[in-house]
Amino acid sequence: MSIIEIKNLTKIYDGSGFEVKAVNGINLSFEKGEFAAIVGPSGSGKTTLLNMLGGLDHPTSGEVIVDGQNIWKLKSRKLTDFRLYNIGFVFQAYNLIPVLTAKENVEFIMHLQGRSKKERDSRTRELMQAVGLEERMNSRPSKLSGGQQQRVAVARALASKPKFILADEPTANLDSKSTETLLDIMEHLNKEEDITFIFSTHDARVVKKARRVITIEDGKVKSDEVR
Amino acid sequence: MNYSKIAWRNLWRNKKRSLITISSVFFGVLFSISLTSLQEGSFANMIDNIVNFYSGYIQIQDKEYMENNTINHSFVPPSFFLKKISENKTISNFSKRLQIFALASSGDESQGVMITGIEPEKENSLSGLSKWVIQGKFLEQGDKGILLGNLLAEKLNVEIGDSIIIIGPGYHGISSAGLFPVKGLLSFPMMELNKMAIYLELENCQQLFSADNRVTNIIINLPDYTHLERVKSELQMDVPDELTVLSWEEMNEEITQFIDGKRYSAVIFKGILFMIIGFGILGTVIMLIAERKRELGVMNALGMKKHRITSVLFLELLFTGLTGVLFSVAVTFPVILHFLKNPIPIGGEMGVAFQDMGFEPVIEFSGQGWVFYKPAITVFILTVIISIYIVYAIKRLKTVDALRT
Ligand SMILES: Nc1ncnc2c1ncn2[C@@H]1O[C@H](COP(=O)(O)OP(=O)(O)O)[C@@H](O)[C@H]1O
Ligand SMILES: [Mg+2]
Repeated sequence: MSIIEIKNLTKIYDGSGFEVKAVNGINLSFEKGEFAAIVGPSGSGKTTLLNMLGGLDHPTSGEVIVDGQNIWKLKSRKLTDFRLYNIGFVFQAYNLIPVLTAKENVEFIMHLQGRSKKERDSRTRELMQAVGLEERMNSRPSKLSGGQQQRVAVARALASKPKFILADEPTANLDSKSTETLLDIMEHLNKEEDITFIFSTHDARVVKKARRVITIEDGKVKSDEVR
Repeated sequence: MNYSKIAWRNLWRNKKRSLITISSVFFGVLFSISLTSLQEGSFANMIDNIVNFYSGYIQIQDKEYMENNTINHSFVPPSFFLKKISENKTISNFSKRLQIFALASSGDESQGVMITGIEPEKENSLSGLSKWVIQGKFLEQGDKGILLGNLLAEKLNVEIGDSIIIIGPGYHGISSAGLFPVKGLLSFPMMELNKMAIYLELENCQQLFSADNRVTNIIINLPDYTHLERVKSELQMDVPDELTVLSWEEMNEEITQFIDGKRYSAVIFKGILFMIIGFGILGTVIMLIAERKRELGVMNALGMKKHRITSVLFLELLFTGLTGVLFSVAVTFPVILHFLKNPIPIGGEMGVAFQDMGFEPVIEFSGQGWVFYKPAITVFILTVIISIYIVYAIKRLKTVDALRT
């Protein structure tokens, strides 16, 4: 039983006078516990695909079914809640909230979920430990390196206990050392805690680590290999 | 970690800009409070003067008297009505007056004067007349002497113990004249009165003008003006047909109109001021939402509902306004409190001009609560209006686009 099913998903952007088929009739499904990479050159439609999968960008046609529910049938508010409880996001540009400390950034999601202070505290500590940053809990993002910020972002993505994590080129802004650390953390969380990761990349070193590689080109799936 | 904490920290992200915005609120409210306090203080002072020296809060008169204030429109107060007045629990004091314009002379000098027959004790507790006596003594029950304004005494060239002649039209045209010893001299802060006021005992006055038992006004005082309308309507129920109950506002329409006019232009002025401040704040809000577009998009992507995002921004706006208001109240409150206790005297020509117009030469402030909280409420309303833009901007925010910026 797959946790995500994508059916004939299409996104057409209206350019001035011409149409851009950013995603062009993609069909895919994901199982629990996957560690899948979406690979393709710049402009191939990776971000658009992940955004539609994450309930952020409205598809032109097609369906995204999570646990039997077409998420694009949900009203805007429900969809926001859906994201809050089901999806963890990691962005290329980290996107931590600048006025909050590392700890508060992780807590933020649980706060939105209305979890108790006790639960928030213990889970934040646990997650900051898992990403190796318990020492930097009280630092603001501006005081952290890019790699550290992205690790906080991973901790934040996990905080809500989501069904899966979507990461759009999470290592694109990182040096190779930080890339390796981040991937190790992600791999560890995937193996030990059975957390589903779907990430996009065009970095060969990242692709190497994936257990499933989906290649897209011009908005279409070129190949889909499980290793 | 709650939303107000995020809002508060956001407020201090761009310190310089926030301080400028807060300052604009600060100066606006400061100015507004000072202006209103000063204005209301001088109005209160004016009203006080008028109410105490001239009209009282409420007067009973003959219906014709306002139009034509001669002794022919005097009246004999019915005793049942006087009883009603004294039984009214809200009325603190009342006193009868017989007021007539007449001529006073001594030797070769003569002068138009305003004669007021008073009940000495009652009048004193009503208007505190005796405190203006600078020479001689205040009147007593059955007194035959008179009090006169010091400038009038100078003009007539009389001193305590001298006598003056008062000539005037008596009731129903009977011409009357009398000789009266000067018992005391008065010096009011208002020049006009000092030049023309003569006081004598009511019965004495009634005899002089052949107007036994007649009065022109019954002056009624209240603890403060808040009870005015109620007491007025209570009296109206009992007042005899030929008499009328007037409030100080009705007796002093010019002053009331003057005050209303001043208040109105101040409201317009403050309105424009706050509108300018409002546009300044709106500009800041537009800028900061544009700057934080991406971050706001991220919050929404992570699962923060738009109305929550709106609330956090509104809180930030509210904190801006509140900080400005609190600072200006903190600055103006002690200053106004000080001047409440120590009114600023006006010296020089200005002071004389004030006295000539019939007012005490002091600058007074008002410390009424609303002087402070009205501008605060205005700022609050301003933030609520500006938050309409926040609601609109966040509603329009496209999460994907924000993330791609
Ligand atoms: N908002 C947009 N409007 C128009 N075209 C867009 C928009 N976003 C993306 N595209 C186009 O869609 C295609 C896929 O973009 P994207 O999904 O960002 O690819 P990738 O993430 O693989 O680089 C590109 O040709 C891009 O120019
Ligand atoms: Mg992309």
